[in-house]
Amino acid sequence: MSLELRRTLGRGALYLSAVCFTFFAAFPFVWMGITTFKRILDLYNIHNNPFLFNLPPTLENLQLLFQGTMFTRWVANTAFVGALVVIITMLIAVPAGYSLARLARGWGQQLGIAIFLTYLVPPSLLFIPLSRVVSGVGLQDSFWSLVLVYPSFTIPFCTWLLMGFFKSIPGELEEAAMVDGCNRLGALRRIVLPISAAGLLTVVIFAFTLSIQEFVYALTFISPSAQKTVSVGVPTDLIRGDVYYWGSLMAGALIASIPVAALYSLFLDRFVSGLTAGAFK
Amino acid sequence: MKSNMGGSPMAETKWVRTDDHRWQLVTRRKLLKAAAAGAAAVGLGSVFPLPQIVRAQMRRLTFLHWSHFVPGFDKWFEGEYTKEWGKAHDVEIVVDHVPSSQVAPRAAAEVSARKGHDLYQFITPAPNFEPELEDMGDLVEPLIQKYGIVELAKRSTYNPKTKKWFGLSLSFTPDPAHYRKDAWDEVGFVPDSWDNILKAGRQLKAKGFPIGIALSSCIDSNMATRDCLWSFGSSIQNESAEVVINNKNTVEAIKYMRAVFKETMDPEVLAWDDSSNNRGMEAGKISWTLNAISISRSLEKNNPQFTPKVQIWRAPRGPQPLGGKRLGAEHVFFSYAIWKFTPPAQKRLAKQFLLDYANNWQRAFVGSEFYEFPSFPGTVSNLKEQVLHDQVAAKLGQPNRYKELTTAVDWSTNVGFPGYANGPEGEVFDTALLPQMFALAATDRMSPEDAAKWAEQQMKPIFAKWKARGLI
Repeated sequence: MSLELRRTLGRGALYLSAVCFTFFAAFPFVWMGITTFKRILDLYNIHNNPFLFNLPPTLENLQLLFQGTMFTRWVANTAFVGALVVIITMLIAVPAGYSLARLARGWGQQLGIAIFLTYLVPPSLLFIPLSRVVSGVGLQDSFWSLVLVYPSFTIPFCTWLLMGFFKSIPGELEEAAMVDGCNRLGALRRIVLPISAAGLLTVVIFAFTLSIQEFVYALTFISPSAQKTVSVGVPTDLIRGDVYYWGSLMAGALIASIPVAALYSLFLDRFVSGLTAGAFK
Repeated sequence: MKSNMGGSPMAETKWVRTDDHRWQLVTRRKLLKAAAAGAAAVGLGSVFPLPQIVRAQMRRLTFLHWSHFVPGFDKWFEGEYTKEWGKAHDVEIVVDHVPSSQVAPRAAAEVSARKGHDLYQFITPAPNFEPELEDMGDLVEPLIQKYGIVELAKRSTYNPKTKKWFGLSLSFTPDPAHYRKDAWDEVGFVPDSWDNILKAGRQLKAKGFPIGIALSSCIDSNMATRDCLWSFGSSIQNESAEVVINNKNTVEAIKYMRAVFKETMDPEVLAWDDSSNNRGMEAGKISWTLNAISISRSLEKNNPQFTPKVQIWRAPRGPQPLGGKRLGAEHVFFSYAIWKFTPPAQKRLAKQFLLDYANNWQRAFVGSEFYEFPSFPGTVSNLKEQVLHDQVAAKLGQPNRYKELTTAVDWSTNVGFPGYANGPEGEVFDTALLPQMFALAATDRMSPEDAAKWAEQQMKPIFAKWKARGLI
């Protein structure tokens, strides 16, 4: 096989893979987009091509979502809770991750793994005891309960993630800073954090995504509609017994996922470098 | 320039705020006078109380409802009925919603927190929460005297062992069959018996219209498999709450369902959820399924032209040699419960609401589009007439569309039949052991005999646990 042919085949395989991955990533959005504007009769007819509009598109599904539910309020609640959880997570996970990576030499790794393991305890086990805590502090039926509880799973994961990231930064850089007069905190602030921008961004995106997609705590701690987040509000109002409002459900899912998808896309390079930073020595 | 504010040379004068936006320069004498007058007013006020506007705190009653399949029902309940009642009793009513599948987890969270809604609406009988629930006997028994009670409602809210009414059911939803009349007419059968479903199903599947019975962990599957088991003369427990599932009639029911699965259905029923049969029927894909009238009502709204092709029939009858019983589980069981930890004043208010609501059930029956049948039959005096003259169906040229529902009380029964809906029956329901038993044999992973034995092995420890707790 000639070099030219091999090169062409290799390039073809590369493009084919890219097309497959693109289809895999874009398909849910395309499907949600199509269903958002489809009439129920069109959607349910199994003889119709599901990717085409066999009946004229409709805005009824969006109308139900925005006028028949408190969707905009839920989006605002979700964004607010997500932002606060990110701030709390960063305030705690950054010093924790740094300490475990740099200061706790002998037992840092074991402690890091132990912290990460707490992330693996599922919310379906924890929601009952935590509901007592939430009630005890008087936050039941308020989204502030989520601001209190969500860091319990974002901090362990993000601490573990940051620990790996900080370890990948050469310690000599901080030592040099300290020789030049910085104390430990100054070295962290002036040297380590600016270098760690990719890792910090990764943590921000992860913490935000984990917060906005959470369901069990949001369901069990909050019942007033005005306090709900998107993940609970949408299924509550748009799944009625065994009747599903597919068009509006897909519209809600699409609108809520676009900002996150945009966030991922905008910072993709930094996100990938942040994720893989701790993987190589 | 020297300021007149504090510390100024004009020691005898001061800037004083007279209202939100105004400051006034006053002399020291004037200020002292004003202060003395204010102090006197406060002193006198304590001896001779001055007239004041006192706002009494409005009473509040909170509900936890699952999102009703008829959106109009929620609008009627929250926007009309509770507003009227709240105004008449000077009570603010708050209704919160959860998805129907999340009623139990939310209840568990409220129990754990010892704090929750004043009235909690369950979607299935809630005997597993009995220790945490208020006895509703003082409310139920007068209502029975006045209106009578449907047996399945009693058997779903009363524990004969503890003599406690752990819930108040105002309504239940019958679970009739929906079928493609045009297709069934073509093959010359009526879906009146399980035998006919198998015989007709073979031909219907060949024509591209399979039967649709979920064999998964959803509510519909739990109900449908119970219907089959009972109609074949078997049950999970007997009247004394003893496990009796491992018997020859169960084996016959399993053999039957295996044949139905292999010869009349598509394998996708093993992964169905509660909406799958709705979708299948509305899409014109399946020819028969058991479901509440949500299928019919959705069709009336979304596809009126197709609606006449889908008709309603009673739950199917079992084989004559095994008793030929016609039994169908309730599709949804609405029951209100009050937590024991609810403050006494709130309990009284909640019970007052329930009593008034029961007396007005006629309005709720209409508001639910006949989805919610009365548990106290006397609360809807002309039920048969209303069902036979449904206005929506009449507009579509189907005046008798819902006539099979008029006999629903005769063939509907409770989860736990022939006994009560007790804790272990609830746990067996929640863990979907019955659909699993049928599915294990249908997919040839076990013989029918072994599947019945497996079910018994799973269920006996559950019943023993609840017996040890003194609740059965």
